[in-house]
Amino acid sequence: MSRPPEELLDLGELRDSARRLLTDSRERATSAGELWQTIASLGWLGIGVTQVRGGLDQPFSALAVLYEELGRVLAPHAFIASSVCLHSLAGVVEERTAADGLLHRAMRGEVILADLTAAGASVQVHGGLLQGIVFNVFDADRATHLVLRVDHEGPQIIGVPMPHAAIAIVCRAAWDESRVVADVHFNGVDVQDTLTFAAGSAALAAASAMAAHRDLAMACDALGGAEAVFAATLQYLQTRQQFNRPIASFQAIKHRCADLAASLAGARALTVAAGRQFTEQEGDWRSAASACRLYGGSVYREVSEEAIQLHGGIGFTWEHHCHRHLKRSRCSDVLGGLPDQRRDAIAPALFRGARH
Amino acid sequence: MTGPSAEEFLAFQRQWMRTLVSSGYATAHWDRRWPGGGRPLDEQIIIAEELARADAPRLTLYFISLFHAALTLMEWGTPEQQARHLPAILEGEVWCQGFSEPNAGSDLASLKTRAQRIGDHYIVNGQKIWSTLAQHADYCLLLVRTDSSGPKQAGITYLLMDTRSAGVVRRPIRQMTGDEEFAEVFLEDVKIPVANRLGEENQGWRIAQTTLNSERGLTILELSERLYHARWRLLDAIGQRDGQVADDQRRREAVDVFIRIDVLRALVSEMMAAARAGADIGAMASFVKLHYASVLREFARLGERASAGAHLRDAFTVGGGYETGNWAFDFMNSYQWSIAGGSNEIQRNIVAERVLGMPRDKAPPA
Ligand SMILES: Cc1cc2nc3c(=O)[nH]c(=O)nc-3n(C[C@H](O)[C@H](O)[C@H](O)COP(=O)(O)OP(=O)(O)OC[C@H]3O[C@@H](n4cnc5c(N)ncnc54)[C@H](O)[C@@H]3O)c2cc1C
Repeated sequence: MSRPPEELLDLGELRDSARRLLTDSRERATSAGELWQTIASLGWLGIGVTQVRGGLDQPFSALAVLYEELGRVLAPHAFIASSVCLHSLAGVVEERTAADGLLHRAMRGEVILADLTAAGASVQVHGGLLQGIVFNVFDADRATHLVLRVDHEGPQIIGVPMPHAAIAIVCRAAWDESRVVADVHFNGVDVQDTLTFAAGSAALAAASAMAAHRDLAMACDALGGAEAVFAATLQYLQTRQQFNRPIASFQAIKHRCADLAASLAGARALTVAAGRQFTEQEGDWRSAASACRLYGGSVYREVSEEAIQLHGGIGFTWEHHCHRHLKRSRCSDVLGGLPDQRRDAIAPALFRGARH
Repeated sequence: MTGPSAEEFLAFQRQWMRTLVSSGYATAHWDRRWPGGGRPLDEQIIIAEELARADAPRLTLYFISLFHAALTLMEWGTPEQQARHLPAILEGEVWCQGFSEPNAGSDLASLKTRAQRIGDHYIVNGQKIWSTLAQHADYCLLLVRTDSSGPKQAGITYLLMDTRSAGVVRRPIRQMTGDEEFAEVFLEDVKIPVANRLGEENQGWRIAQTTLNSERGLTILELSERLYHARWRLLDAIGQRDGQVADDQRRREAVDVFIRIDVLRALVSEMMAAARAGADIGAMASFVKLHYASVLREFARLGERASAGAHLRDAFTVGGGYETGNWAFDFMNSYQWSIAGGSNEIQRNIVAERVLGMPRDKAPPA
């Protein structure tokens, strides 16, 4: 799967340009729609999709950079959702079908996909109608299409165009304001209104690729957020003076920062390793992705918690950005189930590999 | 050693040393002038990985000889010193490291063991402590003070001491596990030839850095692989049946420990990649040591908590590494990694000041 080096983007340059774009657009308060168009025009949406399918054919490491940079600025979930769907489905849809056309439009930024597959097949099909509720969907409100898994004449991954009279998106008041958290109610959507991306074994393969890709994306997002809030904290510690010296010189504070730095270094190393494994589809890449998300998520929690304490009173305020990371780290954990459910899910695979 | 007697331990170590030296595996990290040496780092890594995979015994008796003494001699020794000691090490000369003193541990540079030059000899007086297996050693890597007038680092000299010299008294210290793996070394008017000085007088601190850095990298790689391959011991301890663990809490804790082992291994391979590229691995080494010390502790802690018989001191076979599956022993022994070789606290100081650039606090008045 490895590509000749001349076809690979320089990750440092990609990171720099992503960071510049995202900070610029925050400073200039660029609208979400405008930013989305810029991102699409840069090819980010299909950065890992094969060239024949209209993408840039980069390994996961390039996507990792984008997910991290978006995580740093607490970006909405739309990019991860679209990217997870696009990258996992582009390989399985048949060419020149309606589904294929939709993916091409998604890469151009003309349609926005919401990913409802994290919840598994929680929507049922009865008499040709989709019924059920998908909980904790991130940023479905701006989506032009919902992507979900159903069991209807075998497993399928389908898309539903929005808005739809039989679908209600009920937004929940979430502590994390960087995303729109909603429950999506399917009140009898005619299957005729949907289009199929993949069916049968292709749907199952796509679903597990989506799950692994989502886990890695969330791990990168967490790593980006954790690194951003850690960098800001270090800066604060260097400037804030008490007892006539920067509080960064107190050993009680240094040691906590050193522990956080060690955790961050670990999360980064694991993310790089799991991303490479995913690109090469090597070994148990699915469990590795899930393990990576568990670790990355716990490090984001840890760093964002410590950030508040280390900031003192200012960290306790709404004004300061620390709490946004604290809240986002919690919210990230619930996407597609709770951490303990992920632990239980990967335990058999991890334990099988460990036996004598 | 809690398992075999001291004699059995020594006999086995000698035999295992001969096997690994004659196969070339003991000296893969030596330079190419020596048998087995000159292997590229990738091959050294494979050897370490395979020793771990086989749960092969570690050459604990020769660890200081093969790494600390050999690498320091290769970098700083005169041709005569190298010719005298490196072949001897291959033949089984045992070395110990006499750096720490009762009042110089983390603050190693404050060491006070004095050496006074008289003619062709140094006369050494003082005391060393915590010197691993010094009671069995033939030679000692010795740091002494030759100058107290300037900064403490600038007055240290590095000597190679024959442990059978007159005036050397070694007394094994019993550790909390009951084993006697380190010793005190008392030095009274010990005569050490000037020819046994490594480098110049008062240059010892710099040379000591070579010694302290020699165990990084490959050792921790091997130990993290050992931990990885020993995961089944933890599964057995938490009651696995056919790979399933019924207890929710233990299953989840074990998953977290397993993930942390993978984190450690990912960090180690990043560090080895940096080493291969010739980059400075200082910061990585601190992260790796902190991770290893804490995941080893967690591993043993979970095993100990899950084992009804962990409080019993039954006889057991010493395994290859630090995870014997005798959980109370493993737990106690894990402190070695958070104390020796730069404690966790010292590693945190290094990370905070050298990696994160946090300012030093003003030292208290002397
Ligand atoms: C199993 C084992 C084997 C060893 N083998 C050898 C050997 O072969 N040769 C040898 O020379 N030595 C050896 N040592 C000694 C080892 O290097 C020292 O124990 C270590 O450097 C710590 O020194 P100390 O014991 O004097 O503790 P101290 O330095 O007194 O430390 C006590 C506590 O204070 C903390 N502390 C000290 N300074 C600071 C600081 N600046 N900031 C924050 N906290 C601090 C430490 O982290 C520790 O928790 C061995 C030790 C062990 C446990």
